[in-house]
Amino acid sequence: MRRALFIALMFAAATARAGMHVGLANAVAKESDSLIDQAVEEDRRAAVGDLAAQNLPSCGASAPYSLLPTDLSSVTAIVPLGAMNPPAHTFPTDHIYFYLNPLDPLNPGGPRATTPLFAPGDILVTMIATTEYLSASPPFIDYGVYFYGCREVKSYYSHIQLDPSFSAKVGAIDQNCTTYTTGGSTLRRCQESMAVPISTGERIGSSGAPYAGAFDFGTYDYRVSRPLLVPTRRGGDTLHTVCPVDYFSTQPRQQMESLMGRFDGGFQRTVGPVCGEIVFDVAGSARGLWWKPGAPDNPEDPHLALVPNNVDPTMQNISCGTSVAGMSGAYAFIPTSAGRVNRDFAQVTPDGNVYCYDSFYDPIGQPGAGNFRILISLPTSTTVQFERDASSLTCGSGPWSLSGAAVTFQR
Amino acid sequence: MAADAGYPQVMLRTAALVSLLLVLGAASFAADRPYGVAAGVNIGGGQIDWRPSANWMFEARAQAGAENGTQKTTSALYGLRAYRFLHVGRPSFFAGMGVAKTTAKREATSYRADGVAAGAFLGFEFRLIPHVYFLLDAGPYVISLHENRSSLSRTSLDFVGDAALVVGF
Repeated sequence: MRRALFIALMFAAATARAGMHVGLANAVAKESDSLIDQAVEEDRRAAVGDLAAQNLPSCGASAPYSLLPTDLSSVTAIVPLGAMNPPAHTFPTDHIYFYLNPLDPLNPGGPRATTPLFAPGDILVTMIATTEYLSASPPFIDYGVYFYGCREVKSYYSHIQLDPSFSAKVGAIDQNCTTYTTGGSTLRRCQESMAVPISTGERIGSSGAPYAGAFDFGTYDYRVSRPLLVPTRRGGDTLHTVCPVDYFSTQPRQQMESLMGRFDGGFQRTVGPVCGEIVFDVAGSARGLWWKPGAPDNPEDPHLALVPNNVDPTMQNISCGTSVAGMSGAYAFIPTSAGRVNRDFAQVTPDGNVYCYDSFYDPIGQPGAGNFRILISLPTSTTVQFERDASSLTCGSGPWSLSGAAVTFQR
Repeated sequence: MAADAGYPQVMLRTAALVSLLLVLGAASFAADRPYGVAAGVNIGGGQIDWRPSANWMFEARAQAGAENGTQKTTSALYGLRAYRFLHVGRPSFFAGMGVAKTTAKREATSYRADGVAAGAFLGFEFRLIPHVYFLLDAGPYVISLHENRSSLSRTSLDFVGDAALVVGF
């Protein structure tokens, strides 16, 4: 017995001294652990797209962006979140627009200046998408650049052209292509995931003549979930929409906020939040987003939005896509808080009444838009009936009744 | 082999407990004679031995292990061993060879490494009380692993010590 104990002790001492593993399974676990560490590291280095952003530091409370995306002296106005431009943007948009100065001030509808775009912070570019406008004559391509400023905040510029040096870094974008139609135009979109770090101030591209009069700037914060009534129908990143400007340090943020308003610079938004909003749904009322039954949720073309105006939120918009003949567009009006004419959408409920809307304004605030009046009724809290009535431009005193031409939307 | 190494670990620990009870139970009433079949516990698992002659013994074993790195990695193996007793006495000395199929999993992830281990060992067996034997051995093992997600592979040479407590029937 003593001899065995002596041998066992000597064995244990020798094992410890030699760095032996005690038990084959423990040796396997140690070697596997080391191999898996190697695999994890390899995956981390190979990650592209949103996955690559998981390697970035968490966002914390400080602003990830510190540099203006472009020279603001080239910008006429920044259009807040929630702009509507049916049918492609029937619903309030989840990005802001930087409208560039017209080349000829006397021709505000003409071509716009070209302005460079920069990385607003130390960013990781995770995806680039191209959009080829096949219906244009001649067809042309513009780009969307998606990037993270930190782990949970993703932003993008779109309707831009890539700078040659940036383009050389990211390579060709000709994979994962789909062709689709929206707003009456046929588009071909390709996208490429990547993980390309770019430093603050590095030039990414440009926007403006001859392809675009504005560029989009959007931001999603995955720590935020917006309270949409039917979140599954908008889906995707839209649920995490935030104002890009809020993610800049104080000085550039204030500079951009001072430009928030109508695209032509003719009206500055002063009602908070000045950067706009995209969530307007009020349960049990007409206010919010509505979908045409049987049509896919996306694109937005066939649907309807009854929401506040994004430049002047004291006004409200009827944003109608393609489902109502003769009125694809956004029509603004001044809401009332009593009666059944131009009644605030939030106060239109399933009460059996028909409400009438008239006296519309166009996107530059000019009255006289629309050669019709609109009739709206809510049969249930999740169904709205909507009719373009061209029999009169004004509502009069009512009552009104819907005809068989009324179109039903749901949510 | 199940993808999740947690389940085999539970099974192995249960088997080890049952084996220990068998060892203690058998030791209390078994007659003291050379065993033909033995069962027992080893480091992290259990084993069954068959000794057709005084000089030869064959074994099936299962073991579980773990490595607590940045995240825990658990392992399980099933293997066979052959023993050649070089000297039969108290203690008895032996040499042997073993082979095992292994699997390991990083907890809470889909990373998994499968492979084989094969090696040789030297050791001794000591009868503690009638029919209860203690075995101790050590030797080099080649461990060859393949990680399933990344397709990374590695082969390493490790020195492994092992011990077992068995009861002979």
